[in-house]
Amino acid sequence: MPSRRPDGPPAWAEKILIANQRLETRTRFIRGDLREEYDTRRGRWPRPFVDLWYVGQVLSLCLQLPPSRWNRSPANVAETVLQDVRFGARSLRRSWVFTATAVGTLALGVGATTAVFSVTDSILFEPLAYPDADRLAVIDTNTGGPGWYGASQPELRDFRERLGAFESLGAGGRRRVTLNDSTAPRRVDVALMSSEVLPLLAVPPALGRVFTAGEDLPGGPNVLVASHAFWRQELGGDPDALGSTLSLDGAPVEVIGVMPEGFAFPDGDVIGWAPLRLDPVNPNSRANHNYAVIGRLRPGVSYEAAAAELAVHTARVREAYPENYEVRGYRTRLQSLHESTIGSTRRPLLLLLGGALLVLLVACVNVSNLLLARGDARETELAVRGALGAGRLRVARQLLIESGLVALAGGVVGLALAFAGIRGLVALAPSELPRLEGVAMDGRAALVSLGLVIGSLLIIGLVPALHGVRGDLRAALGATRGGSARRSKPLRRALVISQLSLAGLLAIGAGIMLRTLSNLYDTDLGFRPEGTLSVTVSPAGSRYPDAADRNAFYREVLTRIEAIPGVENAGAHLQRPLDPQSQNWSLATEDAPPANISEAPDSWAQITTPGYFDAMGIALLEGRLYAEADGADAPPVAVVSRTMARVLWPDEPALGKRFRMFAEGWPWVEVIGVVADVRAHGIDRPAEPRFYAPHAQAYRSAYFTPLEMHITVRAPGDPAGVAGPVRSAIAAVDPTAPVSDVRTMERRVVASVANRRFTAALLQAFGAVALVLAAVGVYGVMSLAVSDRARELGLRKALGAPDSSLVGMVLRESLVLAVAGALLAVAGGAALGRLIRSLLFEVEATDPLTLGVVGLVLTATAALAALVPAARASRVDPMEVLRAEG
Amino acid sequence: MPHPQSLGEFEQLVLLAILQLEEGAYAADIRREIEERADRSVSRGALYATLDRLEQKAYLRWETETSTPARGGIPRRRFIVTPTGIEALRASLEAILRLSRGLEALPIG
Repeated sequence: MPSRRPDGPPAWAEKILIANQRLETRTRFIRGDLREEYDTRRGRWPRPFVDLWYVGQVLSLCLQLPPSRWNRSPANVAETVLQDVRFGARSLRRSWVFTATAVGTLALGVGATTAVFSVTDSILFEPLAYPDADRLAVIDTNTGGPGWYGASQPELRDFRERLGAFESLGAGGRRRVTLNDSTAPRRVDVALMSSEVLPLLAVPPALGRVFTAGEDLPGGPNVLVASHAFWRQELGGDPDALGSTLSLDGAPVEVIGVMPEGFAFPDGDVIGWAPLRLDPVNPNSRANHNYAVIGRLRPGVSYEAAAAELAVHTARVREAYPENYEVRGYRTRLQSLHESTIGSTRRPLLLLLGGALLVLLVACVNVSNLLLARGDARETELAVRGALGAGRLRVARQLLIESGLVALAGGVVGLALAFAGIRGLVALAPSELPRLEGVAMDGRAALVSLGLVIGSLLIIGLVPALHGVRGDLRAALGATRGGSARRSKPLRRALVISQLSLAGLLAIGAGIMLRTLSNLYDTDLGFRPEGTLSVTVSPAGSRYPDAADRNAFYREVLTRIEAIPGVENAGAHLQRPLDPQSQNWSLATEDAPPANISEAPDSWAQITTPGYFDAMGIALLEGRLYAEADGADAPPVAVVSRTMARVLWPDEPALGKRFRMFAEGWPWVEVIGVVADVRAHGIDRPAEPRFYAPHAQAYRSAYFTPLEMHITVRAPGDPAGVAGPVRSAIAAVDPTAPVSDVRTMERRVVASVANRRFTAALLQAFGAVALVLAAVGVYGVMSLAVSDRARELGLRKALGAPDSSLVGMVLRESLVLAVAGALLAVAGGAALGRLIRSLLFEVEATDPLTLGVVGLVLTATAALAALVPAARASRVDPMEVLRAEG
Repeated sequence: MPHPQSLGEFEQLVLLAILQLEEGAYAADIRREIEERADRSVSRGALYATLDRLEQKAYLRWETETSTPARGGIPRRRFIVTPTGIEALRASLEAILRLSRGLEALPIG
């Protein structure tokens, strides 16, 4: 005991009493009373006993005196709160069906929101894992055509010389190469980087070194900095692997370094980083926009300042090279690396986050409604407590604490659901979603779910708590059974309407996404994906140095494939529809020769074997397709797409016209046929001009003869089933040529809309959950309405109303709720549609079909949920009701 | 009805004890009085809460008396039942009496 007065009780115990009851002047008297008794007992007992007695009295007083009467010192409040918690837990345990429903509902909402937040946060908001990542920037350019792309080598040189905002600027690209190791040759991706890129990302290698400026020049050594995963899996995780040699595309490459785990630039699919080797002496054309540009800003330079400098620079360059930019224009864009990585995934992810929040909101409203119903049922209890001296605040606090317990339990269960949900989301997510490898539940997500719990507590707790304090004993006790004081009826209806409208909103979101998907699937692609298999063949350049060798290889391979039973025909081609496209070339037409490259029209180049059109199912509209006869030595010919025919020769038929590459020394190519447009860039992207050149003539008419090609095989019976024979056929011609990316075209089409399918699937799930919750809400309200009106229903029945009219009454009432909810949902849907317009395809948020179906679904849900209460209404026994009334 | 609230049993006991103690109704004495005469233990917290409640209902009031050295210099309260309190007590006791009329021969045990 720290201090004690010579003749008084322990000072610390008195202090507790004073502190506990400081605000009450009356406390003084209590202290005096205790002191008097203390002194009396001091005469009879040994001091330690008296002290003990005194402490016991103080503690029991602190526990017994209700704070609303006495005061609100922290210790006192804590004690009574604890009492309330104990009481609340007991009462929740007693009504476990209610508790389980409420906790489960809330857990769904919290779990869904936390899971989606984790994914969204990791992808959108978490800073990139580079030191000072907020100084990394990406520059894109556009010189005509849709979208943004990289810079050309001269443009990159301009940036380096003129942009003072950057400390360092580099360029990059990627290449798929054949890796020859102990197993079969495989295709792998290597990132090609100028020597500045790895140093400016500022992540040092885990082992060895990165390549230097000197090694980056043409003719420099063949070196590779391996990714951590590649080093571990393919090089055995052995530090001695440094200095070892790999075979990439048949050439020896020395491993000089290993990057640390988690380093994934530009993404996690590359096995390593190799020098890009731009030739500073003979840069290639200003029109070849092949290089992604990344830079690090000087310290203290903002993105805005850098963008402003870039804009001025761009205008100057445009002036300086009119032959390149006058007609086509020259635009540039500076983005943070973070922004550029996230790209277009921001909107769908935020949409999903919004969807999950709506589910949480519906869940909260539901639990709120449940608590309100429970509050109604407990009206008598609450009124009695009020009469016995529990202040209104105390009653409100009791209700709030019960809500808090529900919210807490919901939060804990929801967190567990979120853990499972994150795994599910990552497994389901389309692989093109960036930064997927970094998605995990982290402290931030946990904090957010805590915030969600508190937020939902405020929503679910406040309504019943505010409602509960308006208790009126006489009303509650004096009411007869049939007409009990169900004051919260309008409020509960409002809650149910808001639930229905939120669920309807989610259903509209899911509906228009489904319409979008169905429109995408129904779109005429310009080719027939069904019944076709597509593979990629990558022979080694060393084995097929000449155009003739390559032609012969593919002719032989295709002959063997077409001999496979079940295969109708097959064709090889440079580019595959729906893959990322390349080779957008500037052309010159014979009729209107362009003065410079800026005036030259451009078109996407496709180089194919003659069988490609039939194998892919591309329809011939005019003229003829090329054949084997249009061989290496025959006059150069081409087939053009309808859009190319329209754009290049708007007023005349394209057949017989001639065009050539916009470069010196290339021969004129004659248009011999026009084919249907192919949506090569994506189902939702319009077709662009495209021409097809025969593989056999490409070395003369189209810059080069491709070595790596895709082969499309039409086997209508079982396209996936011919995969094995196709592999064997290729291996029979060249066992060293890797065959990769074996998939049916139909699966590729589906995969190309994976982002939207993901969004649609999640929105559907959210919509379904919200609908079920709303149905529970409708059920609750209608049940209550029926038991409230039991007397009226009984009277009506006694007066001869048929059962059907009673059922109709209840159903009508729930339909009113549904219609109100549907109207609100439609209003919200219009706003939603504007937010997600970029995700939609040939459908508006005001799509009448979607709105109609959602209206029907809401109505049906409300009707179904009201069926049981309605049936109960028809079974009301008039005698029983009237007897209870008497 | 000026005072619709009825008196609880413990409230009745407290009011009765104060009346019994006449001029000497201090908290400690009220407690002792109830414990001895009604033969039940009284928790200090319950007593203070009840005194406070009765005071708020205006059934009793108190006067502050300057202290004696025995209380460590702290003043004490002397409780007095107000006329309203007496009326409420009477009403509630009469109700009990009326209801128990004719039940004098209630079997014990």
